[in-house]
Amino acid sequence: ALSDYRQHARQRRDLVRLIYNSDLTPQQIAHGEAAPNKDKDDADDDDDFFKIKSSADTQVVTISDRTKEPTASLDEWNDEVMLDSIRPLFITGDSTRPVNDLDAEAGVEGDGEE
Amino acid sequence: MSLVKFTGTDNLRVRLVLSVLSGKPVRIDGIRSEDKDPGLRDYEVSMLRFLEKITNGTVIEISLTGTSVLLKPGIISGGSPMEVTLRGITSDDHDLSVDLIRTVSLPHLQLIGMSEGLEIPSFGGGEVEFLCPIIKQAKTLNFVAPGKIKRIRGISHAVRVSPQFSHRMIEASRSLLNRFIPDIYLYADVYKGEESGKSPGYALSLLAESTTSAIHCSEAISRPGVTPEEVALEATKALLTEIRRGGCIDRKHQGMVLILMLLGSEDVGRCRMGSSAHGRPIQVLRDIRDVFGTSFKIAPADAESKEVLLSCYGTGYVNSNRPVA
Repeated sequence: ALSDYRQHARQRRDLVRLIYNSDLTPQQIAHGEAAPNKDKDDADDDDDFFKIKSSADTQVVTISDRTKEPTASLDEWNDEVMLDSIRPLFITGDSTRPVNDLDAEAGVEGDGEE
Repeated sequence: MSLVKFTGTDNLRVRLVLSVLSGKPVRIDGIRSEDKDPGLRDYEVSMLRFLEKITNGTVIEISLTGTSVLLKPGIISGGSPMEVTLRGITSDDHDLSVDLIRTVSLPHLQLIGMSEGLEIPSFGGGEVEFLCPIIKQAKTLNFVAPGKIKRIRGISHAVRVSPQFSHRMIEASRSLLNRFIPDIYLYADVYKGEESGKSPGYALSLLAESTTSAIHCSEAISRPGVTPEEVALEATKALLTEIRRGGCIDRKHQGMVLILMLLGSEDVGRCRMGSSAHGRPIQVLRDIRDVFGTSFKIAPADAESKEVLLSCYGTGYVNSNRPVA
């Protein structure tokens, strides 16, 4: 639980820091949410300096001025299991089952909320 | 007053709006300077003219090539309700269609206490009528419970094509949606003759509303060689993606809601949002910081999800030109 909390605190600090104090593009930050710090020196208790990305991998991605995001692949919804996985988000769904637990079928209950 | 500088077309319209709201002059350089058709587009110039019209004392300077613009904003008139007729188009694949602006964007303004008199009474043939009331002050936004999806609504429209297309889209969309909830109503909107405007096409706009009035939306419009069924499934799957991302605010409206939070009364506004794959809200956060100097706090919403809780101290924005009733 403590390590969970730590991880949490870290994520929080990171997001604010990345948004307001880094040169990463918004897209890099948004993608990083899925896989934070994919650089190899991903040490645990890092209070290190900002990682400077080499200019090679900071390609300029423009957000441009549009409201609709370019459509990502929607093929995942051809899968019945995927469709079933969002049932809890509807009033008719079973709310005791958390969403996104596809890969953690067994024993998901009993987690404290913090 | 200090000048805020930006480069490029990212968030161009948001930056202009932030300038007018803050009263701070903004200069944007490098507008499509690498493009073979460089500079501001006609619709962007129209927007600048519009900003000039609804304010007093605004000065706009556009460079000869159109690649730089300097906006010195005046004061927003705000004395009486606004009535505008906008001409051009009513849907495309870059921005929300008038259908979604009417059914999703406008209801979002209720979050700051704006509802009565806010409407799009009529539209069609590339023209939109818009009515906006005046309010004295924006209410502090507090929206942290996403709730559960209780109903889905949609508009399936076909313009200058077989009316059958509209029904084919509805059927295809229902093939995915019916399993989730019974309260689904998809409306077939078929335009004929005069009212239909000039361009043929079809589109499906969808919205999902939760028990706490969170509204997620999606839409897809026809392209050459794409069947009505394919368009419908694209919109439907995009809606499911949106629902799965969670949070209280549809992703296409996150930027707008961040600005609404900023304008709230001098209190802490809070909102839970799903993550954005696109990063546009992040750019809006940065632009708000650059123009207003306001930073948001961002914390994970809970242990399981990727949703975040954003909060900020409102600027206490007041409509100074509102007549005393």
